[in-house]
Amino acid sequence: MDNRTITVEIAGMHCASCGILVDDCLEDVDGVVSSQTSVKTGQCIAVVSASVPDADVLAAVVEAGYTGTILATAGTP
Amino acid sequence: MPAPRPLLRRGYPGGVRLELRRAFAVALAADTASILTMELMDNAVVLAIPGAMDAGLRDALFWGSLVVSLTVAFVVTVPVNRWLIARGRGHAVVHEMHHGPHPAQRDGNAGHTGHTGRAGHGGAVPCAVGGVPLCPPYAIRHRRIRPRIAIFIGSSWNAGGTLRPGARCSFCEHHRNHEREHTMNWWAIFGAGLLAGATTCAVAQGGLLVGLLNRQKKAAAEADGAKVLVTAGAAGSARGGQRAGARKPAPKATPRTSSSSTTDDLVPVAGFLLGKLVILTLAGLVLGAFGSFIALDARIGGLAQLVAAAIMIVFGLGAAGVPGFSEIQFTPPASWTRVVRKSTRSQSAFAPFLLGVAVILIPCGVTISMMLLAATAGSAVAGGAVMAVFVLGTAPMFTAYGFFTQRYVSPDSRRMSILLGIVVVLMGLFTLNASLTALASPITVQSIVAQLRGTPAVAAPVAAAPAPVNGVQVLKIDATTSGYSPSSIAAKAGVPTKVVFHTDNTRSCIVYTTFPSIGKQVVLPDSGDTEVDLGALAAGEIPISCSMGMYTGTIVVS
Repeated sequence: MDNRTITVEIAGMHCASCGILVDDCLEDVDGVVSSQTSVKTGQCIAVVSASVPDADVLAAVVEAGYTGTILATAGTP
Repeated sequence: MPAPRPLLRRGYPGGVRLELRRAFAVALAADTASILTMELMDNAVVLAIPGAMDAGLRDALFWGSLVVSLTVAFVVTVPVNRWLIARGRGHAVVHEMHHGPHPAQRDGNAGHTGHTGRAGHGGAVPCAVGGVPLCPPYAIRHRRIRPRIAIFIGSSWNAGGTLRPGARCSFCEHHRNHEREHTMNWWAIFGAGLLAGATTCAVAQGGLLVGLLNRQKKAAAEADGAKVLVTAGAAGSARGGQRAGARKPAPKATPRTSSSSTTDDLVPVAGFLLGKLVILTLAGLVLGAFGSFIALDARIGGLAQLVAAAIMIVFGLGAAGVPGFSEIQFTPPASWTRVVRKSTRSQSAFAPFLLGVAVILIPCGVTISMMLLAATAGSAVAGGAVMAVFVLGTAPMFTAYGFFTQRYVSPDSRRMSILLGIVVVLMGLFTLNASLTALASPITVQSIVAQLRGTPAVAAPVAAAPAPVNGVQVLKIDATTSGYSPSSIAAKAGVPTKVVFHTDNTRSCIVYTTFPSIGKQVVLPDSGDTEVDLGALAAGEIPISCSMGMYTGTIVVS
């Protein structure tokens, strides 16, 4: 199955712990292969399997306590 | 290595500094034989006891073998030490560094029986610093003696040998003064912890802890062959609860039905906080020691304080959410982040504790500010205390949010963040003022307040310039427990100048007198006259202060 790369802009992060928490929450979602969040740029790059909708990714960000906006997606949905 | 730093600080009698190399040589000569004997015996005994090497922290054998090995090593090392000291070697070498003749012989201080005459072992009695006796707790705390030597001291001290009943240890007095000064700070540090526990990184760390516990429960459930079921009501379900309710208001805590579940929930939180407490206190000790070593040179210490203050103010403004500042963050290397991420996926029973230890790798701006405060605290102990108080401050809110409200997102963290930012900025300003005082800056809070009150910061010199004798003007200043007298003295410019500090049973940090603007430092004896050659002076003001800036005086050159 093809993987998609989703770039999410995340608001409300103030330190390294926040970035790790976002990655932690995202990687707990079934179908999320990896997540790399940079607190500096305020962006998260998540590699997810094609079956995972954007909404699930955003829901995980919200769950971590932040708000997210999809900036870009690459690969077939 | 206990000796070099005190040796460097104290130097030879008369205030001449000991070179680094010589200090290490003395430390080596003083303690090597003793430490070697102790370590050899200690390790030999543990090796000899079957299974002792493999015993864990929970085994009685581990602790039992430790007690036996240390006892045996102690018994063997005592005669070695006595033999060395009796021949003027061993730790006695260090004692020679402390101000030559014993104060009891020099100024009739009958309270301190001193290095001679007690049970035949000079090392058994604490070193006199500045000619003033030290009590064993101080001497141990500041590593002027090793704990095992302190066992001797403890007994001789209790028998009234070191300090007569009611006599005061000068350095305890000194510390009491500083502790009084910093009382407000301790509350500010605790307050910062309290606010940080409900905001900033502590909230995110709570989320990491909850994730860790959820995964552990899941794994345990899977191992049991049961369906994955994360029960509500446990701290571990906090993020699970959040997952259902996203950012809606926190659900009310489920009433605990049994005490065992309460304990189950609190243990991981306590473990996490304990890990944080241990590692950050250790960091504070190291930073405090490092900072006090740097501050041996008043000017370098002042500059380091200045940098620390600037960083604290920037992080404080960032925590308060001031645009342009909140973007400034410490970005840990990816390898550090990986360690933390790995520890959130551990299945070990110690995982919460280890996660608490690991989070030192991802400090937020507020934590870094506290670390800087620890570094400028003045000693290892004070540095450790700063961090410990901060972590303890985070505990109540951290526990409350995680445990009772079932989620780690605080409802009104914005207002608390601003308050936290203000507290950190104030600490930064406090540090800034201390650095300006240490650097002899003309602009300090004291000078501004004086200006606002309409009084000049430095009053006209209290004492007139003395007439030069043989072309040299000699300024006589009494250094007393209550300050310099006269507090300001006039001097003529261009005339070779000497200052003579007179001390008479002076017991305070004023014995560490510095001229910050010209980078001169001198250590005064508790009683006597100390001459400092300043050369020919240019017109202006030359501030005098103790090394901590508590006592100040001025030479007004015109």
